[in-house]
Amino acid sequence: MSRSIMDLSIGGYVPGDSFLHRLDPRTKLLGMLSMLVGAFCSESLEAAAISVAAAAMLAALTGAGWRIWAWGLWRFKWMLLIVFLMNLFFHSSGAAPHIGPHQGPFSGEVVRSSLALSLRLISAIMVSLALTFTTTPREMTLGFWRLASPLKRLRVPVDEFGMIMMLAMRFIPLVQEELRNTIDAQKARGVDFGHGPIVSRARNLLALLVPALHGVLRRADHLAIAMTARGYRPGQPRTEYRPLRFSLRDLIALLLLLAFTALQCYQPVFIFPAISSLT
Amino acid sequence: MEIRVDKLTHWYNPGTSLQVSALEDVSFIVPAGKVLGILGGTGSGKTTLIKHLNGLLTPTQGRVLLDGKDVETYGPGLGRKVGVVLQRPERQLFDETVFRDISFVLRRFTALDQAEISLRVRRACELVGLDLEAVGDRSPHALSDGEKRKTAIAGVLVNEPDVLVLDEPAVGLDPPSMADVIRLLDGMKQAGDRTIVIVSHDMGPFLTLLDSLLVLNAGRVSAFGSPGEVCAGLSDDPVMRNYLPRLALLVHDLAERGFPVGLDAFTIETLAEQLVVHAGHSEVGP
Ligand SMILES: Nc1ncnc2c1ncn2[C@@H]1O[C@H](COP(=O)(O)OP(=O)(O)O)[C@@H](O)[C@H]1O
Ligand SMILES: [Mg+2]
Repeated sequence: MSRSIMDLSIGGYVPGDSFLHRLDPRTKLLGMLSMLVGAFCSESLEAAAISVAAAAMLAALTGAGWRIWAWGLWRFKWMLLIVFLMNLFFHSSGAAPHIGPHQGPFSGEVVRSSLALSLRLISAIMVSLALTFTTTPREMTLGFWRLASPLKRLRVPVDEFGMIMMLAMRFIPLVQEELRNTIDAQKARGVDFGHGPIVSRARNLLALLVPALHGVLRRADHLAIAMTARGYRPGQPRTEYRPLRFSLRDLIALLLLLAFTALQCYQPVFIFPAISSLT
Repeated sequence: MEIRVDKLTHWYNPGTSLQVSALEDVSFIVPAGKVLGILGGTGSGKTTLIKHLNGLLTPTQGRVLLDGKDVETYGPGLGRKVGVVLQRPERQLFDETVFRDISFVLRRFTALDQAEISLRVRRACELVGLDLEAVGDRSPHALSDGEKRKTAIAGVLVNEPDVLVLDEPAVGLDPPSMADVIRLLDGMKQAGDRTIVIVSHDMGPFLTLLDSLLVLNAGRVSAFGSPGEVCAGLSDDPVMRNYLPRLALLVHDLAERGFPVGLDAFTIETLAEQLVVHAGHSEVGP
């Protein structure tokens, strides 16, 4: 029996009125890009730890509460573990250190780089969650449209990309809902997904995937009908009724984030020699 | 099997900003072999409540006991003891043929032999009024909506559960299929070996089947008792009145105006009979 599962989906929005909620979506999109660049432009463990600390500050600013964050990150545990192990086993450099009379399996350098990679991923995940927790799919699409609209001159179909992006974000929760309904319904007739030999467990998945896929297709069909009924035609110019406001708050936030990224990218040169000379 | 729900409270996403209180302090008892109706508007917590009967959800507070034993202690067999037909069950059909879909759980999760499985499938189909000879080898997706619903119900009945729970069994059914479902439930009630729970936002068609009626409003019990008592008690409540079956309201209002109709004259036929008797005895016509 499972404890009630959190119902927030991947890409889910957590209603609220935090500082991050009130930022312009363009600020948040650019800020996220900048933080991602900052997280990945340095390979050192220290820089990765600083990225995580900065992402944790953003997390606190979302006002979503630690339970939602803990649950949001917990879903990535397998991915993080696999990445860590892959790096540990396949990215060998340097000789393994001696622990007493035995030689350890991994060099200290590989362990550090694997840890750093995992931390960088964690910070990237946290930054992305901070964006989706505080931005509705609609705001996100608007922000994307406005940021990308110069590309229209290069004949990039920005409107269509934006619509696809919004539909995808709206659809993930629906897919999850269909799956949950199907899991519940099959359990309610006595299907026991957690037991039995692995082969038959895989076959039980059919009982899950067929109805869930059916459900998703049915909803996609309804959505298409609804969009057509409301006059959506691909390729036609779109109107928007809620203009975005780029305020002083956005300017400050953006400058801070860009400054942080610049520091992250240059700190190996400036800061770490200083730290290592201290130790 | 006796169902005892004791001070049940359920919160979704407890302790987060997404917390929803779906049930608050709900208690009731259904004796073995009796039929309970759960009535309430959309979002009143009906589905949340029945998901506690087979362990799909666990209580935030309170307990659910089956024959005096906490559902949490039943383990994996619980899903076959308490058969729950969730909303729109026909959407969950998946196997290649109707026979295979109905027998899926028996084939995969029990040690029953082929003959016993066939027997149980045939019995379940008879109960729901599905012609197994005609549709057994067809794809469930090729059936009519009513037949699909019956197939899904049969898929739960093959487990021969001690408790049968149906969530909104009337939604999306045409009148003939609806009559079949009522007949099925009536037959099971007469047999008397199963406890039945019927969940609906419109209890009219099921009223005559019920031994007791639980009315939920915003996650709380607003009435529990015999259908006659509950409907009479809530008929004067301007909000809850709207959820009651129209026939029950009519009975109540007639009784209130001095017509001697029984508070459980819940079919048009019985009500008409009583009114005819009444008309024969006095000058006042209905
Ligand atoms: N998985 C869920 N996560 C969060 N809230 C939910 C979930 N399921 C239901 N709710 C909420 O709980 C309340 C009761 O819902 P439900 O039990 O489905 O009512 P009913 O079946 O009577 O329509 C509603 O407010 C609904 O929005
Ligand atoms: Mg419901």
